[in-house]
Amino acid sequence: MLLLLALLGITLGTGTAHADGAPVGADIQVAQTLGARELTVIIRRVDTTPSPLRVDVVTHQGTAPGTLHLTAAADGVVTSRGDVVLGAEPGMYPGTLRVDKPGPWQLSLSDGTGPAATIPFLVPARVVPPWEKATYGGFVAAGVFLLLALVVGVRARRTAFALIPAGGLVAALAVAVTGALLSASTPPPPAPGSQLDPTFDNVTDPYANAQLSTVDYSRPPVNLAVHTQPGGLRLALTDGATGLPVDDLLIHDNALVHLVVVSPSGRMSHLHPVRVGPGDYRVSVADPEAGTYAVAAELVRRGGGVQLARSTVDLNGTAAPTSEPPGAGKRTINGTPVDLTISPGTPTTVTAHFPAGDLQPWLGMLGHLIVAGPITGPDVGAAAAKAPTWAHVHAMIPPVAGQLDRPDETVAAYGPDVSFTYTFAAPGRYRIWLQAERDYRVLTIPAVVDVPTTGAAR
Amino acid sequence: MKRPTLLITVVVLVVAAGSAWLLWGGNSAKPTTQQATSGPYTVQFSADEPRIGGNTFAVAVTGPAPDAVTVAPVMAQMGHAFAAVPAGPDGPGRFRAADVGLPMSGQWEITVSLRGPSGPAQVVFPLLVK
Repeated sequence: MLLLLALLGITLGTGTAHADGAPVGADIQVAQTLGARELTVIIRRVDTTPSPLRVDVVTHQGTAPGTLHLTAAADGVVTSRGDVVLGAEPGMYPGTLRVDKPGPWQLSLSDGTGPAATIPFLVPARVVPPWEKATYGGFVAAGVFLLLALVVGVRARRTAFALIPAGGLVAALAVAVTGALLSASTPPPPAPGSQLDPTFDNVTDPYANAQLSTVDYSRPPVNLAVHTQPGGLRLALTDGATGLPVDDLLIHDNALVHLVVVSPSGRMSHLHPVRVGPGDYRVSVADPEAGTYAVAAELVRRGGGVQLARSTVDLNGTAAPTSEPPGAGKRTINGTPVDLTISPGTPTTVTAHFPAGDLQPWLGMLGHLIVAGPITGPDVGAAAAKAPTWAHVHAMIPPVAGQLDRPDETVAAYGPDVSFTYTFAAPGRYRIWLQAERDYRVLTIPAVVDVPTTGAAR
Repeated sequence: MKRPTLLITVVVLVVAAGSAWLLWGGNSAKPTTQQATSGPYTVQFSADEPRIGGNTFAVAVTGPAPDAVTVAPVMAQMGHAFAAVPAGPDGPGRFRAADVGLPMSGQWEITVSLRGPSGPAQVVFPLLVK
């Protein structure tokens, strides 16, 4: 009966302990706009330490060949160095570093020109929860007591002496079964990384100081200041409550910061600023136009919750303005024919038909749709910055049951249709930009959507 | 009749050892030492059993000697910053800030600020108060 109970408890209690927001040992994918290169850095899972740390860098069409210098640092001390040689062909280029203990680490990438991009990441530890200790220890002790009882029962002068180890057997079994049964209802400790600031102590033993918080784990909103610098932008992120630099961004949708900028004539760029210091992010903007850009940053602080910070920046540049894009219909983007259909209504569905089912996931998604509006007048950047609607719509990649790691960009097996559904809040003329990746090139398809008065009613 | 003293002792010892193994490490607030670098400084931060109320923090700086060291606690989840507390010298390259008030449990972030001829620097150390 006790054994049956124990088996039941073990079957019910097979929850996994999560030491980070991601499952223990999952790959970490981070998009980085490093100088003129748009890269995806994949930090492969680490199961035990010390062990090699495999870092793959995915390049895209137009990424210049060259060498990236990588380092891994713990406690502010660089312990491992390596180079990744990027070829002229787009694809995945490997590098190998080494990590020797679980905890918060920092990967840095340098192309030799500007300051190095740093990516904080966690090397998870194998954590044995207390109930597991109780269950396993209890069963081991029960086995020992059982043997002892048998020996005593056979060898001792009085058979009744066997009742003493038998008492120990019952006590040990009670501990084991209680541990197994409680395992299902025992809450995991606050996760270092996604809820608490990670330290080497709490990653190794999250139960040591485990105490469920009396307040929400979420942090205050950020303030975003956008400054121009030669070749690009410098973003200063400060805490909305204390004014201190914000240095607790989590990797969300495969980036620390998703920065969407809209040019004065309506070109959209979806960039991924690199962290060069606490609260200090840099991004280069290729060939800017002169005028006011709309800037929007999507990010997640420790404790959770996606934040959107919007701003503007005035750039000087010589790029020729682009004209207003068409609505639905066929067009060719970077050599790829795309047919856009827009089904108006509440909600509206926008579908892009690509020629083949060979789309690649970008930022963990099949497609991205940026919506800004209603926009009137020729100055799209300034109008988009003030627009009441600023949306980032996703098209998921079809999930595969049981697959822990999401496919990276080398899997060209999705599409050919990418569909987005969005409910427009008000009538008017909206600018939309649809993004999907094909043949290692992120295609950006601009369009306009006219939302009629009737279609906007909820 | 002889009492089975040895047998009772063995069973009691095994049960006691098992209980101690289970409970050991579960309720001890360990002293924490963390290290970070900023500019020319390498800073080590130690807090003995962080708790609600007054705390003593030890800061050890290697690299150039700073003129002044302060520690400023922030309750990250509440968005509440506290005034910086100066850390007095405590030997070469060592500083100690006494009676730094942390009024609640949870996730704190301690900003250690250094000023000196080698320039200013700030490093932040997370601290979990139980």
